[in-house]
Amino acid sequence: MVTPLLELRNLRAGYGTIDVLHGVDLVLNPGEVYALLGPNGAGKTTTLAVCSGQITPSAGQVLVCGREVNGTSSDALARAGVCLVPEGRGVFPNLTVDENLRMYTHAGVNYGDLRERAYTQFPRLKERRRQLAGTLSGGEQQMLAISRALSTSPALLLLDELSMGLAPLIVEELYGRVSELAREGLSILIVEQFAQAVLGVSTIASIMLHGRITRTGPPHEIADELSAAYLGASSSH
Amino acid sequence: MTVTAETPATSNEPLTPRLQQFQAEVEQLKVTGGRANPERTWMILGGIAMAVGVVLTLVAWILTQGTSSSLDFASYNAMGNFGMTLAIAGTGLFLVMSLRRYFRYWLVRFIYEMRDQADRVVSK
Repeated sequence: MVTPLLELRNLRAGYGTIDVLHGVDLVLNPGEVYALLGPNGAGKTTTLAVCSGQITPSAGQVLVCGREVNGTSSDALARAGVCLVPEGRGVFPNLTVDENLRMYTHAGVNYGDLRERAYTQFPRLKERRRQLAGTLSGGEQQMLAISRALSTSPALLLLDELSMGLAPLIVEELYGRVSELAREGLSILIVEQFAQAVLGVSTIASIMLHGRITRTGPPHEIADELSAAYLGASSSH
Repeated sequence: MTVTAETPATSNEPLTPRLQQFQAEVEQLKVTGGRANPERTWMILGGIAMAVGVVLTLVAWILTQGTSSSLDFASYNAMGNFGMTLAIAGTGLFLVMSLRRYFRYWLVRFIYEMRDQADRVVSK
């Protein structure tokens, strides 16, 4: 039996006095693409914040490769290989694409290699390399954000609302890339509000409601239950 | 959406070199255990220090009333001063930690409102 790459056990977390997660259990095995779905305010982003070390859980355990990492700083986790692409992309809007990529070399990555990899994976970024990142389209900004994430050669990639505000064709293209990354062996936890795109690339999916995971299963089963869950008709387990 | 992926390799395959390296790096991580809400602990400690300080001061004051020995008086005086210091420090700690909790909540709320407003503007 393989040790899960990421495991959450009865995880509780929140912001100050406000609890958002009320006992989340999740297992992500190496090479899997896990889709965590749920409506706005379900606690999906908070789950990613805990996994990436930005929020310390108030109870429960976060295990990476079988080791409890509660309280580990986000930079230490990022250096080890846990990488988050946040909602809203997280690029430097006043820098060009090239300058953004240069900023990502702080971890000791070779700039030439980084550029080559980014432009190979996303040729459109090469065409825009002298353009300010803030003036790129949403999809191109997301490509740049993913390039940043891949610059550290992550073992675990956390993607927050990749499709937010993007046209369906762009979403399809981005998830095509995600699918390629998964085939290369990268483990990915994807948080999404809109499920159609992500269920096509995921190997396992969960529905999260009110800070709890209410259903976990194969993507096709989850797809069938999703509408009912969003409308509040799902049973608690 | 029509994106369909081959199911990625999972489970019983041996770990790739990158995953082995990742596992080794995770083993070396400094894990503190962390605390989600450190202000609460300090608030409780501040409250206890405040209460103990007040009690010590009152006890010292009562004891000074029943003694004529200047040596006893000096030690009760020291106890009273210590109690007052403890009460003041405890009150300060309690107030600072209460404000920190409040402002953390306020900041979260503020960020949430800003994002919500930005979403509304974009969707118009």
